Amino acid sequence: MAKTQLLIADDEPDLLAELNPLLERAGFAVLTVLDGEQALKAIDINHPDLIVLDVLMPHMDGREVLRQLRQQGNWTPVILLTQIGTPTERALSLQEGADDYLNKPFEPLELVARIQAVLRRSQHENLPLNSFRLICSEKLLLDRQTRRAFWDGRDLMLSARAFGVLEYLMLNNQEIITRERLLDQVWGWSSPIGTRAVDTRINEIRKSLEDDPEKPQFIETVIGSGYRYLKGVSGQK
Amino acid sequence: MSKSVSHRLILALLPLFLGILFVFLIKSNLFENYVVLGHFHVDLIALCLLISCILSLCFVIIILTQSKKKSDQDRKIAHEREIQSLERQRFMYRLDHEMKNPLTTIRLGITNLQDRQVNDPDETETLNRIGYQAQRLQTLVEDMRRLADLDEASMDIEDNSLADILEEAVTQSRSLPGRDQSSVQLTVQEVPWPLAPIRGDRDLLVIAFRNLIENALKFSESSGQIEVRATEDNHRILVEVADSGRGIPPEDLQYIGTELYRAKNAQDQPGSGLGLAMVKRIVELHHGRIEINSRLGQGTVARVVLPMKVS
Repeated sequence: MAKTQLLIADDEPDLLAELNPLLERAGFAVLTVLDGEQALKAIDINHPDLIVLDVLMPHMDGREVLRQLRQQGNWTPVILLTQIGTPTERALSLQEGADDYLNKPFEPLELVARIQAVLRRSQHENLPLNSFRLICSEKLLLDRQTRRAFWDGRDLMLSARAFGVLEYLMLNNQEIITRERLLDQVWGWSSPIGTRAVDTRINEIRKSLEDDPEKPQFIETVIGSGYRYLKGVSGQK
Repeated sequence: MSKSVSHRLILALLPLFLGILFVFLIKSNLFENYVVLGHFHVDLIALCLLISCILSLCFVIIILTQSKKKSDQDRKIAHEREIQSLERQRFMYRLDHEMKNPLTTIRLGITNLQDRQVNDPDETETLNRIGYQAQRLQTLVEDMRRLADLDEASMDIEDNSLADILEEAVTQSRSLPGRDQSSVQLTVQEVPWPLAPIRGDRDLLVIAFRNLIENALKFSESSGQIEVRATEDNHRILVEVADSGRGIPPEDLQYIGTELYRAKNAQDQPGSGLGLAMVKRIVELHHGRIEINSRLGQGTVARVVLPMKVS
């Protein structure tokens, strides 16, 4: 079987030089480019299986590359390397059709894990869940633009962070998500906030879904690891 | 119009009132209603009213021009402060941004070296140290960035039980190495009525109180007693974190809470000098304030005053 082909675009040559061997050791074939225009050309010629885009690049930034790709109907999985970790910034990246995003500076092995997870997901999804405004799972419906969750049409009145946690778990359904990752993704900063903050939000979600943690239907606690959304999730246009 | 200005305006009208009073006295025939000025007999009532009116008018004009000058000045100062804080925020963003790529590259390089098949034990140790320090640098940059970022838009506001928040802050501060929770005593007012819920961002408040408790722990002997007390005081909520630790030197006290500032006698403890700046910012975002009282060698008490939710 041919190796999975990755395309990495970042304007920092030193960073690419260090990233390359790491990803090759993880079993990928890696192609690197230094700006957005080169990235679009390389995608046209090489058809990579997954693209990692730095957001801030000269000539054409990562967001613009992503927009153009999606407009062309190209749904190759994309991971954005974001510079600014504000939640609004993250929400924006997702709505533009990124499959995942990672804040610089990232834990090197975390990038490998994310690439693998996105590849796994993309094998059985035609369009990434991230590209939908509405995602649903049985009677549960999330409107990702207005940031509201509904059960059978009734507004669950979740707090902003509880919504963020539920959204992230649903987007990554069937996968174990650590508390640290949820903090990083939803709160945008992990160091001074304890992981208990995540548990508080999970309790809030469970209460509103009437989900019994002993016999969970929706969110399972994986002891020593984190949480997992158990049901299937689909997107609605 | 400010209160002091309206008070002064009333004072300025005093000559007018006195004049009117005098008119009444004349009317009730206490004085003759004329006064001789050279060759003229002048109507005293008219003279009285004229003088008092002119005096009051002068005072009013003086006061109003002064207060306008002052409010213009205030506005200018507030504007300058706003620009300063914006510039500081922009500076933090640039710094943060410029440090991200180098830090990412350093961490990738360290991982690559650590992943080599053959490693010299000495080298491994050095690598671990570099890795640890890179991580520290990253945390510092992140914290500085968060501090610059912290504003009302990023808050998740709801009603919270202060007892829950403080309990969590105490539990979290237990993770500080070498400090068990037994030395922290938490009292939350229950009598004559329990504390009202507090409106704000739960996670931010936990960070603030945890920081205060951790500071108290860090600068006390391991046998020292820490008290965390929450009470209601005159429609406000008062939270005190008190320790019997080493205290803060008086000359350092005014700088406490300034980013990256660390007191002279605090250098032996780990910390970035950002903790209290963060606490201050969080408290301000909740429309509260913080005071720190300290006696060198006796201890420190941090007092956080938060507005109570108006029900």
